[in-house]
Amino acid sequence: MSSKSGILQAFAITIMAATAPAAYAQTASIKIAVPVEPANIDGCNTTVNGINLIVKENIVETLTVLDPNDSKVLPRLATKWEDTGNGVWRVTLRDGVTFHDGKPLNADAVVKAVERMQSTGVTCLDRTKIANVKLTAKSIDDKTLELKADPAQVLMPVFLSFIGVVGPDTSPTQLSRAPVGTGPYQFVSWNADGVQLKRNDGYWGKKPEVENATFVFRGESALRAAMVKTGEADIAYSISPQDADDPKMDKAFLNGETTRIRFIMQPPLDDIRIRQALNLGFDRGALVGTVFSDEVVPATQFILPKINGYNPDLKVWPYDPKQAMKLVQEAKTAGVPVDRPIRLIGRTNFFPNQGEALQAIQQMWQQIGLNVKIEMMESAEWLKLVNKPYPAERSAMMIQEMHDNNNGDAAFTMYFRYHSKGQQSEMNNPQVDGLIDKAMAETGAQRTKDFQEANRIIATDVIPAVPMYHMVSQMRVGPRVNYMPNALSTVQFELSDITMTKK
Amino acid sequence: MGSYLSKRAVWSGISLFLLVVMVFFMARLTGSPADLYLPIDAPNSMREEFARLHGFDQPVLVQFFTFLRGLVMLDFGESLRQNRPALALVLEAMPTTLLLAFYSIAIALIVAVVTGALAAWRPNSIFDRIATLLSLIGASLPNFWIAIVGVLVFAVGLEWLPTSGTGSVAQWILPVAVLAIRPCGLIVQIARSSMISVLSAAYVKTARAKGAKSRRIIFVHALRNAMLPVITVAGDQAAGIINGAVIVETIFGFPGIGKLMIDSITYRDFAVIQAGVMVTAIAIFMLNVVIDIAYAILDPRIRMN
Repeated sequence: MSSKSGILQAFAITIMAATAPAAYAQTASIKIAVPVEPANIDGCNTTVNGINLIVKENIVETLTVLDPNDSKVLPRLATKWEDTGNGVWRVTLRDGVTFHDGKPLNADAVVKAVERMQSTGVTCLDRTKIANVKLTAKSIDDKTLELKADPAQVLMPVFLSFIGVVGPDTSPTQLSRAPVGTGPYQFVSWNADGVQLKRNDGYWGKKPEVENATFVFRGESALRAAMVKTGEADIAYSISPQDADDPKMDKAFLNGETTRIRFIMQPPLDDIRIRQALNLGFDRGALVGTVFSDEVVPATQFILPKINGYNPDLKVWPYDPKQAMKLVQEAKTAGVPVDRPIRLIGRTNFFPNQGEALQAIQQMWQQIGLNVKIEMMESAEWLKLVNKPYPAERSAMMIQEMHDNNNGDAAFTMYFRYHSKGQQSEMNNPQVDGLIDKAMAETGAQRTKDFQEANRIIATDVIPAVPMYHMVSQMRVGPRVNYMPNALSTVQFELSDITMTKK
Repeated sequence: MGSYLSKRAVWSGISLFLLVVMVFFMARLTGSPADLYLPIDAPNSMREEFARLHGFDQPVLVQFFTFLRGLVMLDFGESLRQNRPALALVLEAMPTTLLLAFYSIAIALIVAVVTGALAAWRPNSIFDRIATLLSLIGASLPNFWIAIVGVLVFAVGLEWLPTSGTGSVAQWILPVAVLAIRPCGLIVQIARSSMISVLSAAYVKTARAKGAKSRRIIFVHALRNAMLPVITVAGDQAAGIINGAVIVETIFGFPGIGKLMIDSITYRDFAVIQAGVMVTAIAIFMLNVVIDIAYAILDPRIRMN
């Protein structure tokens, strides 16, 4: 063998050894590629995108969880919860549960976790889910505690699903990058290779099949998809429609997000005929299977069908450009300034192919005789337009929005978006305000009925927006593992649900 | 040389200070971290509380003087996102970027200087035309595109290299290659034109007339004198890589300064942005000093004083 070919051979062997993904192929170890590296993985940020995938129900468990299919509240660390009146709920904890550091789960630990979540000493983002509600926790005995909500909350069982029970020794002033919980996986390390978790063999529940899991962070969709294709990763999150080109591996699922275009009620948008025309002039079907996945569902309201308060009687706006043009002409005759430019505000990096979608919609609206101009904004600028207090001078605008309500109840949408006091509401409708206030205090069928009626009035009488789609995410799942994403997979990705194909 | 370096250090210190002051005020014009750090449905009361906790409720001038006090002690404050000292985060990320930049520019320089010199030896030959065409293509292609195509060809198609990551030597090949292609294309063109000019100089003709070998004429006599513009461009390109490895680091999952800065800008993590700008500027200052020293070594006519 010549020295040249020897060197080449050595080089080839080095490269092959370095690139072989075989080491983890022999064990039940998996790798998950996700788009964004979170700043922390604290158990009081279980509702924050990116953090939740790693920590929620894997490392840190909540008191209750929601059923992905019907949003029913299910036990997790709490086995029983009972409303004892005056805003107080008595919660019973599961027996035989220990934290990863060996400390037992008891009422004192939960009281500490609730206090930490509500503390101003550390910015726990799960607190935004129970904003404007003061929670006070009190230990009754080792396995029982009382939670008092002020004001009283009928949705306390759902609130329990926002309370991640972190270990009692968790810092009260620092967000954790090495959380301790009670979950089926425990934190191992976080370095340039990602976040590593290992199976918690002392877990109280069913022993998961996957032994080790590594979350790696890759910002580019094509690269995440390629990682699964080459066997470097087993699951890739959030694949763009154009990269989801392998029907055997790519799975689309409703992700709980709904998109819409909100109207700022300045002329000509203050005229209901123009708002109707914009809805009639938008061909929702044209973007399905082209710009967006063929699995997206045209929306009638800002919540999904599985959410309590969804009105099933509302129909998707038909595409009727002739009627839309007629309405625009009628408004023009009545003196409405229909030629005035209307700004269509998009937010950068909102969802895949949003730019293409906005351009297509703008064209449709130009064709019905409206003067629509697209403006793309960076998040900070966009936020100034959507949150109260609004800028004093607002021209006619339509703002692209996306909202997720994976919490089972319309309350998490309605007040904020449609009540006159809501932080992102453009409405001032006493009837809707009354229905929302009434429903928020009710339970059962009457609550559902009042939210449904509010949604009917909003969609047919007020028309504050163009409802677009219930969105889907694409996930690529490699041949080594079995995993079927569900409606909560973008916010709660349970490693325990994954099994290996070859044992 | 000592006096020269002292003067450079003083002027660079003044420039750095002005730069950091400018970044401080410009960053604050772009929006409040409370808006971007907290979820969209966070109530205003929580945003106000967040601003209070991190001092963003103070007048900008008060924030500025607090920042200056910290700067004297090299304390840029804590990262909002990671609750860790901003300077420590930047210093952790810097070596990865410096290594990426070093490997990329070293490979680009070696390949480009040899190619440019050989192309200049016989202008308009087939080798020269191919080298010129390829270098133009290399200098024009965007990094993002090269990176994705590189992954699809070498990782997915041929399965020779891993798609991303930092753990092994093989994982550095694609990122370094992607970063090297553009500087390489530019330097080939500079090296070629500089060599053509030098090769027509009288001393080269004299060397030829004396029967010196081509290899010796190119690589010993001519190349040294043709290197000055090459070093200028290579220095610029290295600075560009230190500043602009954002795309490559983001795509390939490299935990370098580019990725850290882009994350910090997105979330308005002011302390990290300021520390990042400072450390990067110091790195570029040092790079410029190295270039100046290289100039002096290559061309004794350059007088530092």
